Amino acid sequence: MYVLDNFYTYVYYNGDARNKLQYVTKLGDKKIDYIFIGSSRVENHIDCDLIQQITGKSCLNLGKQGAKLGDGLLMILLLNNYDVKYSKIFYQLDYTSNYYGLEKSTRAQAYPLVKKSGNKELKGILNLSRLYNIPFYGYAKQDKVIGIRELTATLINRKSNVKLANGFVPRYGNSQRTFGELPDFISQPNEELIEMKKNTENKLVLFTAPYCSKDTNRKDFMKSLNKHYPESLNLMDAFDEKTHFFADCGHLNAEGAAAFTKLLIKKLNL
Amino acid sequence: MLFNSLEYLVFLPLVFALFWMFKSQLNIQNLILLIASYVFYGWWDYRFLALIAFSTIADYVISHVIERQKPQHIKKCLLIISICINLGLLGFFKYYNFFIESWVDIMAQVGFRSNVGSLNIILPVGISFYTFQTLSYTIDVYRGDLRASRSFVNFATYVSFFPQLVAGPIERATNLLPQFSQIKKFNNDEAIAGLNLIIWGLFQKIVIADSCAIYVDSIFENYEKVNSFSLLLGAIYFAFQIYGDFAGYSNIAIGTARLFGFNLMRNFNYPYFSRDIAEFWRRWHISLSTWFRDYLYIPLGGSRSSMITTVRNVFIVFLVSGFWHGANWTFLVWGGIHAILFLPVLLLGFNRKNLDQVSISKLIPSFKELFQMTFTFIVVSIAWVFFRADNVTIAFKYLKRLVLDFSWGIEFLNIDRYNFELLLLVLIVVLIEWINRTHEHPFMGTWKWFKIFIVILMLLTLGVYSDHQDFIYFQF
Repeated sequence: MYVLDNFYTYVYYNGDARNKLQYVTKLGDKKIDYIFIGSSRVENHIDCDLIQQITGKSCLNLGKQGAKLGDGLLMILLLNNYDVKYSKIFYQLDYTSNYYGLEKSTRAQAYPLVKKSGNKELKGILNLSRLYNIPFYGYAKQDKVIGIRELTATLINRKSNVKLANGFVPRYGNSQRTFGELPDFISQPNEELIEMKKNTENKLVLFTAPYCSKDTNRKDFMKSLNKHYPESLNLMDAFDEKTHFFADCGHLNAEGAAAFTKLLIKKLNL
Repeated sequence: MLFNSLEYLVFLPLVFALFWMFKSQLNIQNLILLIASYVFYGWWDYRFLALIAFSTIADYVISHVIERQKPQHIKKCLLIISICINLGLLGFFKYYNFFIESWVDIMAQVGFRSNVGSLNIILPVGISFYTFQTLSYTIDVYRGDLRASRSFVNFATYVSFFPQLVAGPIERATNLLPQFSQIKKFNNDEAIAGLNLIIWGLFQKIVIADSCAIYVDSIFENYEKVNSFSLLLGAIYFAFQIYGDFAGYSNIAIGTARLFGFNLMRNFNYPYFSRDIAEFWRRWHISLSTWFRDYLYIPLGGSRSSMITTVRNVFIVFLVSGFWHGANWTFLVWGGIHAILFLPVLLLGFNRKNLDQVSISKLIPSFKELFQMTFTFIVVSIAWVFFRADNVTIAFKYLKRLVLDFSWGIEFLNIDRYNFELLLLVLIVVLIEWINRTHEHPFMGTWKWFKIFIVILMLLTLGVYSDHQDFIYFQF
């Protein structure tokens, strides 16, 4: 089990990146001008190639489907821990701001990297039980994400479905189907995020992405969000007149994503 | 407590060490096993312990009274009381809601509204297994085949013996109970054989059954959207899921018992290499099929009466067997299908045609044998669809779509891990079982330790741990 544990860690640490977390660790001292962090509303909405074309600045989309607040914080910690240079981080807020902790697959993907780095702060954010001290326990318990299938894919250099250098995954179609209503409030602001904003000397910019106007709680949620994060750029109602931009109520389609990226360039002075 | 849990990984060595610490002190050893069994069972829900204790006390007392009584009619009366207690408990906990809901449905069909409500009953784990075990004990005492147990501790340990308590094998008192009176000597070879069985059982459960389960669940949830090929794979994978799950459990149970010097009966004997349905039932869940044979089929007259009586008996046994599995019409239909499949074999006198292992001493089966095995596997797999489906309508729709959809393209199901490589894994296991079909498990002969090493490696790397699955037969 000890041998297997070390073998898996070695492969995931040294193999080609197949997810955004691994990609961050491979960036080295490369400087990225703009980094976008958040949920699917980053992954599906921010086209970094477009930003690069228009502004000439380098950009990286680190959005992740179903990401919780902890996922973003972990990403920032990893960027700092691996000495990635950046000018600004744009952190997207939405209903996931109510969910602390990490999304399951993020925890799994981060596990080999954190294990290898030995960084206590990173370990702390994963909040692993003592059982994870048993060799190979972490890989067995999270086999769905970092089990033999993923190991084999890494070993044979199978390319990731996501273009990691950009990180943008467009959605298609057009509807305003409500996929899950926003909550009507944010329970409390995340102290770690606020602390991090201070520590990064205002390199961290908070923003929100569009939701369709059909979402019944949107107004109350925006009010609550503005109260807890007054400095955030709120763009939730940016496309109320452009219903054809929505793939569903919470996600823009490719056309909407391009429009939103352009809007961000303008609003954030990129 | 589950066999494939970390708790069990601590529990088993602890009980093993304690048990053998008191070598040759039979009473203490049995007491340790009894306490361990109650801890094992109470781990799910301590309230279930009252039920098993009640069942144990009732059968212990009744069996002694039966033995002391001379008049046959009093003995019979006491036996009926025991049967009523055992089946009453089983009926209440397992079937009450089913009967009430079915009654309400039937009344609604004929235009009456019935206000009888169902109850919020939790089904005690393994109740069907230990109920049948205690029933067989009392029946054996009544028949004079067995003396009532003199030691309450021995009897209570027999009823609650943790390796086979929740999902069998359903042990006969004539086999298991006397073993609690024999002084145990630690036998290294037996212990290693037990460990081998545990490892193989864990492999069957965690690698085969749980991997298949991921695919099967997805197919059965989306049966209206996927094509014929996926539905076919779903049916095949379920056949291997249920086999890996249950045979795996049985092997772990038998292996665990061996660690303590006990021999439990074999429950599976490579059933998917059966050449006809009768052979399948001699190889699948052997402890249950022989239980029904001895305590239901033969007392009903077996096949020695008229053809009509034989047909009736076959249907009764298979329908009861189906119903034993669960309170749902799907299990009854599953039992009925097996009765229909079994009858021609029985009536044509072919039911005892294939008694030995297939292609014994040959590596490759003949074309005829291959055809027979494939045919049996197909009909068994069709019946499994009813076993797995949520209701009978879904099962029919599943099979209808499988046959009539007629699209055989390769679909990628949105499952993170397994798709067609699972088929390869299943085929490898079939091959391993085929080569070792005359042995109890594959860790025999040359390269034994290498085989064990490979299986442990596969267990660690291919096992499904993040989507932890309960054993299917726990619900029965």
